[in-house]
Amino acid sequence: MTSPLAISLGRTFRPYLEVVATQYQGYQFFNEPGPSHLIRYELEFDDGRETVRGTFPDIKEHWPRLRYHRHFMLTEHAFTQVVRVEPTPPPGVEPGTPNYEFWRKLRTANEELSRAILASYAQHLMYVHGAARARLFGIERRYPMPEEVVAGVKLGDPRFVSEEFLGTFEAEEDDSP
Amino acid sequence: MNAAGTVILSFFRDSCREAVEGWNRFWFTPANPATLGMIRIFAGAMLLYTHLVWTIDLQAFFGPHSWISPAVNATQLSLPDVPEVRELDLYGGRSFVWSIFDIAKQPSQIWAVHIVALVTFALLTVGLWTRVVAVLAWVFAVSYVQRAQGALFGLDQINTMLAMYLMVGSSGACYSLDSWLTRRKNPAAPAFEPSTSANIAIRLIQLHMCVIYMFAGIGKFVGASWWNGTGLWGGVANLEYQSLDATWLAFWPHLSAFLSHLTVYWEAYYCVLIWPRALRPWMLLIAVPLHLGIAVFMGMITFGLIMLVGNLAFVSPDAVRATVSWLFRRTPRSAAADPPSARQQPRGRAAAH
Repeated sequence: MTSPLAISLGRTFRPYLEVVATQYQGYQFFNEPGPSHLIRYELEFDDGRETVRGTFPDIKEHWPRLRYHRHFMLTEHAFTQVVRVEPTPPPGVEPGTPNYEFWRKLRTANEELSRAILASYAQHLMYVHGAARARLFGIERRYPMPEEVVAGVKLGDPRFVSEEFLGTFEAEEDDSP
Repeated sequence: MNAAGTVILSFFRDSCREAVEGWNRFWFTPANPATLGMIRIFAGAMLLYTHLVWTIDLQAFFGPHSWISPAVNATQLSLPDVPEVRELDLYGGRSFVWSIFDIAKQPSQIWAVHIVALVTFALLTVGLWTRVVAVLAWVFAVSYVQRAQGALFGLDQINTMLAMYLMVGSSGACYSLDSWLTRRKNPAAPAFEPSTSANIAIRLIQLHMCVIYMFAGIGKFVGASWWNGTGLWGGVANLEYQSLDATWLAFWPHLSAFLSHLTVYWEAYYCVLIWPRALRPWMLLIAVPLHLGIAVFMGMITFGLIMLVGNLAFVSPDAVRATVSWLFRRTPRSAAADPPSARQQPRGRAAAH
């Protein structure tokens, strides 16, 4: 929830914030540490080539560390950053009311943007590899609590990993000049 | 008017006068540019490194078939496509976001922009044609940031912030090829000419750092893990971030909790505790292990280092000069060797960096 004053100030100073590129700078570093996200992909070809499989970010492929971090931010962005609207309406906002409709439209717009971002990742991968189709899977890795590590659990324990199918994407025709 | 009224009026009159004087002293006292010059070297080097790394994936992040396509990037930078949001907008939904990559869209154009940008950042680092180059560096830094939305993190926020303030102040007045060339032509020219613009730039960086830490700190107050002492653990136990194993902290729960609480309180109260002279060295001393810890254990070396560069704004020019002189085994110029304008700097609290 954002206060009405903060919303009004943000609206008023939007031109300045956008010109100096501070529009999304909340300076909120690790407010609440959570699971990390990766994307696994499978690329299929129409010419009979074998399916290409990979994951990003990939610590072995993406060197130096800053390059790895850029790819890591891509996956985090798709999963968390862009979902700026809560998945459930705020308390007191009932279906059928104007506020509920407003929340629903905002939520829909953000979900469409999340979908567009994933489609963009898929199109990039297909363009680079010359693939016809991409299947994306979201990987979420939670971290163990200290007492679990004391008991011998490793950070990479597969019990902390879950995978979700994100969708199949078809290659778009290249219309770039 | 009775005596009480006179006292009250006098109090408010004196308070206003002191506030105005303090304001002017804080912002407009000419400052030795040594600190700003040193920030220019480090920030310029970080901008150069950051963009050198972009070189490896230049087309993958900025080309027409990039991870975030130009169309998706534009969508996420504009207001949500919701009628109510656009109707309430004071500017009719118009976007003020800009980037050179709005014009340079083809691979060859992107490469041309990139090469010029790298040269610009290199020139900023060595301080050649700094006044012009600092403006160009900010233009390039913002252009990359606005085009690569989705691949950004704290490093980019601090990079663009520092680039903006280096553009405001006379960041090439010392520790630069500009100053070296000036003194070659005119050996009598002062090496550290105090300037108001250097002070304004340093003050802006200082205040911006306070805002950053304040929001970083109070943001953590919302997170349950920072209250129960596992906030720091959440960072070091994240396998994707981990670059050096610090899971031994699991065996030291009190230490882990203490470091978590220290992080939150240090960040939240930085904006207050960094100003008193007695506390400033201690606040800066804590900044070093905190940010180096992020660099070493969480693999965010660039972010950790650029935050320390931002903290450099609170180091006095005298300390910067003494350190440089010590590093290069040179005796610092005595105060008598400074130009008269340098010796006339007020020594009041507000004038000190």
